[in-house]
Amino acid sequence: MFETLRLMKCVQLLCAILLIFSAAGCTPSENEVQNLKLSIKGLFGGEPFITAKSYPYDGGKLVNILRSDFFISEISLIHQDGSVTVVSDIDLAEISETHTSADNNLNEYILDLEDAPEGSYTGIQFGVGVPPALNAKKDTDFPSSHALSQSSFYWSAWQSFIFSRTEGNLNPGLGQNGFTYHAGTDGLYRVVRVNNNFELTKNNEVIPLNFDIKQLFKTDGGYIDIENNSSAHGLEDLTIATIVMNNYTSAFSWR
Amino acid sequence: MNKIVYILPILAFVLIQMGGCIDEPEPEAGIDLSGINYDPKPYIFGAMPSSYPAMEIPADNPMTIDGVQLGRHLFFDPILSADSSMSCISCHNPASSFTDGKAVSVGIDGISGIRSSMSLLDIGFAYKGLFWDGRSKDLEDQAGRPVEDPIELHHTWPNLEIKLQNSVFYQSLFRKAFGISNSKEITKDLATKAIAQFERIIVSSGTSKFDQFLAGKYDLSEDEYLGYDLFFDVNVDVPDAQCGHCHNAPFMTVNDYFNNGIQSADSLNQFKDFGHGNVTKKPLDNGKFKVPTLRNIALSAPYMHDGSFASVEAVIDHYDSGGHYSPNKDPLIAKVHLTTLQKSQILSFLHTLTDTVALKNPLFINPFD
Repeated sequence: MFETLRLMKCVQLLCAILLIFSAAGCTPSENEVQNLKLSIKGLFGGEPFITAKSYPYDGGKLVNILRSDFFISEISLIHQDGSVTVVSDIDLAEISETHTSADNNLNEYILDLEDAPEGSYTGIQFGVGVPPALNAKKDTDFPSSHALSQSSFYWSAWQSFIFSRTEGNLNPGLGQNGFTYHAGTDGLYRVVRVNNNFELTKNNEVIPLNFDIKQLFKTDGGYIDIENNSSAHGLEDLTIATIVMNNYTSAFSWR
Repeated sequence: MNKIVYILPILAFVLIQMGGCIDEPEPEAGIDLSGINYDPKPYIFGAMPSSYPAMEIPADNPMTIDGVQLGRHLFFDPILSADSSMSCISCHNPASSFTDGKAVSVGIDGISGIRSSMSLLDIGFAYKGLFWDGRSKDLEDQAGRPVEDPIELHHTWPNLEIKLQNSVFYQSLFRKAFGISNSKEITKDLATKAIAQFERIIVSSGTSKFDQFLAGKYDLSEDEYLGYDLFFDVNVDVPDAQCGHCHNAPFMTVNDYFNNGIQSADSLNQFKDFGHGNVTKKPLDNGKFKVPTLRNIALSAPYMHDGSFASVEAVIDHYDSGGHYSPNKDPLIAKVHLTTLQKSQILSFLHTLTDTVALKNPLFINPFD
């Protein structure tokens, strides 16, 4: 009889311990910042970017951007000791799709991030493109809710996702010259670092970045000659794709 | 012999009652259906291309054999139209890869629509909206719309629900499909779920030359291969015909919305048909339409959202020309400068997408014939 009672007490105690542990597991740590977001506002040559709007380009020409998308992966907050807290997996940053309003205040790409500890950071870093482990897969390997499920971003000839799409027109209007710059393959995956000391607190939970699309066109001597380089989405020549991907590393700034 | 003389009329009467040809007015409280056996069994897909992923099925509409059978009957039944003259099959005929072979479809009142009937092949894999303009988010929503569209079946769901509730035949099918216990529980929601289940079984079989090629079981001919190369830009020394951007494998569509230069427009507000823009209300989406699958393209003429091209050759010529100007014409639509030979090679490749086996599923035979 006593044996049974003792056993029951033991079981009750075990259950209580389990309950406490599981409850603790569900409660966010007190110093974690929730609702953390990344905000990217597009620019073109320093001006607020609006999809399809014409902007001055090299040589007195005009240019518009109809599509500006890139995969943004493994966003990490950089602690003062150099260690990082990873706050995202991968998402498609649809800049053109989120910058269609004539009211620039409404134009913004926002990504919900995972929780991160409060504290001081020296900047953030992220990948532009699809990390090699994920890039070894195909669009059909992912459920439709996943950013990588989009068939228009998988290029079977490359056996790679399209990391970045930048498309538009030179001298928009009748007789315009369309251009299409796509980039992909593992060798063109780039890590971007944006240095800026910031405090992450429960009242300051947005990471604000600017992204200047014109920067993607920059070359040593000026800007890409769009007229003579209207298309870059093949493996035969990665020159333009490499320029564009390299330029991502300097296209972002803290806002 | 005498017994047969008596039994035959009784048997005929019973059969007529079972067949649902006579619809008794339904009591207000509805008919108790709990006596009809409800034993749902999951629907198992047949063979499909090895490159296809598993189809995503909504958790609130699992596919069952009886659900598909109900959907099949509804799909073929002119009861869906106000005057009982047309059904889904009128515009989505299996023989034409579930299109109607017309430039634009015509509804029960003889009114022509403005768009061509879309192929339903592999429609269960389309997760980015349905119809040319993307106005339906899923098949369950899509299935309900043509019924009430005044230029299609021009019926009303409340009236159709009453018809279905009064049909002894459908009372039984709905009970078997969804386990309802009373005829009053027959609703638009269940009817569209059943039609969606049927539409999801319209899947490629994996027997097309292209699928066999991808599976390593068929060698494309030289012309077919060169067409494939032009289409997808596989080898660096073959020109890129720019087709694969929108018609990517394995479904031969990316299910997105593009302005492919079909309509000429000086400004974003001058398109004859605003397409996707009517749904998103974004002017930059005006003139954009959903990319259709090219599977069974040889069987689904005419082409484009407005049926403006009668042949695949005309479609290839259009893309080679760079299309008509409009401010948001996709930059991918630009002059390609294909030779006559290259065009014919692309055509040869497109014919490798023909899959007649997919259309011969016994469930695609009219159950009322």
